Amino acid sequence: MHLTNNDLDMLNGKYGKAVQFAMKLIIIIGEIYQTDDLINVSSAHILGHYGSLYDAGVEFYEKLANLNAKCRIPTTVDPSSLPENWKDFNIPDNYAKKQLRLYKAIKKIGVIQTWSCTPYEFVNIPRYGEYIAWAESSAVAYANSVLGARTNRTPAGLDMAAAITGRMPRIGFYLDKNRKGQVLVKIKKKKLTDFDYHSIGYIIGKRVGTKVPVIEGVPTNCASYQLKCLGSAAASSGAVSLFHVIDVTPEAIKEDPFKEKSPEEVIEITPDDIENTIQKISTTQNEEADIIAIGCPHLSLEELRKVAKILKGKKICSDTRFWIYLSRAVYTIAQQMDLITDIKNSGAQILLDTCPVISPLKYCRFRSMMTNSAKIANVVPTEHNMEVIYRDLETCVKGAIK
Amino acid sequence: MNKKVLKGRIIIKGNIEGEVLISRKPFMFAHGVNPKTGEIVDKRSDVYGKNMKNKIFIFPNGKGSTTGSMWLLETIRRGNAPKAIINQETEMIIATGAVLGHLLYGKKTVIIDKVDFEELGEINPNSAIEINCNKIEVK
Repeated sequence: MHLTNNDLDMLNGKYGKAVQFAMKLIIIIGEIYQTDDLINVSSAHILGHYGSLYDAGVEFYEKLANLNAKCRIPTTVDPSSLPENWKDFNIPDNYAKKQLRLYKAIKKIGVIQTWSCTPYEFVNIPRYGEYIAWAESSAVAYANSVLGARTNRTPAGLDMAAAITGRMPRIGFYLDKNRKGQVLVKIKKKKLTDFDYHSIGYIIGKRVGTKVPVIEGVPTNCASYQLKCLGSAAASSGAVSLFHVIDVTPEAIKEDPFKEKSPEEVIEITPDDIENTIQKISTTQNEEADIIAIGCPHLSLEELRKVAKILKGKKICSDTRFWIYLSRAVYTIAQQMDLITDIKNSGAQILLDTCPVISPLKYCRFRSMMTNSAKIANVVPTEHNMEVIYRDLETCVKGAIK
Repeated sequence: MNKKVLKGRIIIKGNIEGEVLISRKPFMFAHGVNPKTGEIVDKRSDVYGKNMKNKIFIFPNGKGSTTGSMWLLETIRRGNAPKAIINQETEMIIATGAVLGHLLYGKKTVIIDKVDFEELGEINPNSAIEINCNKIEVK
């Protein structure tokens, strides 16, 4: 391993035991994945939710915090297992306490208090070609694909190591050769809806797995939040870290993402494919849900505007929950636009700082969930032991107000 | 006769023996295991319901969420992790969890990858396996 003087200083404990530990981990991982080089990364995005970090994660981050670890690079954090108003929910005290310990440790280390999977919308915005070390598969997909930055699906633990050292092994998607398109995906539907982007992402993930898809047929005036949804679904149903959209994403505008090689495979996605997928994703034929969840990934402002518009003047049934997941950043701006009032007046609830995938929904004893998010639909049935009904936003709202 | 000797690449070194647990599908540690017991809880897994504790856990590759490293780490912390993992391709999420388990708790999970799964063939699920350096002997 080629180590700079700074690397050696970090490894030899000049900057304390936490940095030393982190460098050890980074070097071991670099050796396993056969690189001799480390690179500087300019930002990190870490996981910080108790639901997956468990006691091991709590202990680890407390240990680092107690050793005075501090972020060397701007570092944001993914959603928490607790909503901001967690005391209003049926969450056991001992579970909540563990997340609170994580909050304390992560704050002490100097992490930017985003608690959102969409930090790239408001505070952690990498540039084309920038090396970063991000966790959270949907954020990785967005940063790599829509922004043209470079990161791997950084495992939890290694993300924090990057944050406190600013270094990562030079492997995977940091390298040009791994960013080439591999599979051509032709979208055969015109006039794509928001919901289509989720479904298309899900199909792509299932079909290509970990490969790099190049997507043809997405309009150049698509919204970034639509690509956000596509990437999140593909990262969840498969393990897509990077996708190219011809004439839309930075590495596919005036650049051949296949680098003059032929695609390994050509896939077509027709309107029938999309329709069939919607049926297949749902785990039940039932159209009734105890809970409707919108906002995975966290809603962008434009998506929230659409939700507020449909909910305005309507009332959610008393026996249904309609939960909307947001970042605080979007919430703050939405408040200034009366969107929050319209939503709250309908009886829908807004949950900040958290996400349905990693929150302890089992304590709420829901039997079925309706959602427009392919990622939620993919994860919820197994993780939370619920049925899931996958429908577009309008249907979700109709389901809640009848 | 089910005796075979296979070669792989050492990710985490160690010489051990144990009982096999073999899956033919990519395995997701995130939401896939109950760290408190070692039981496999992913209904989509072909080893759903089995327990990974102290086993030689063989599966082609890991998949899924970047949280997987912590799920594995917690399983190691609670003493319910496999003794060894054998993969076709060990992904970073699993390597990170195992390395952290060793660095933080001194609990080693031997990992060997680049093992030819074709060669593994119809290995009897009740087999015993001995790992010696980069050699895997199926008994």
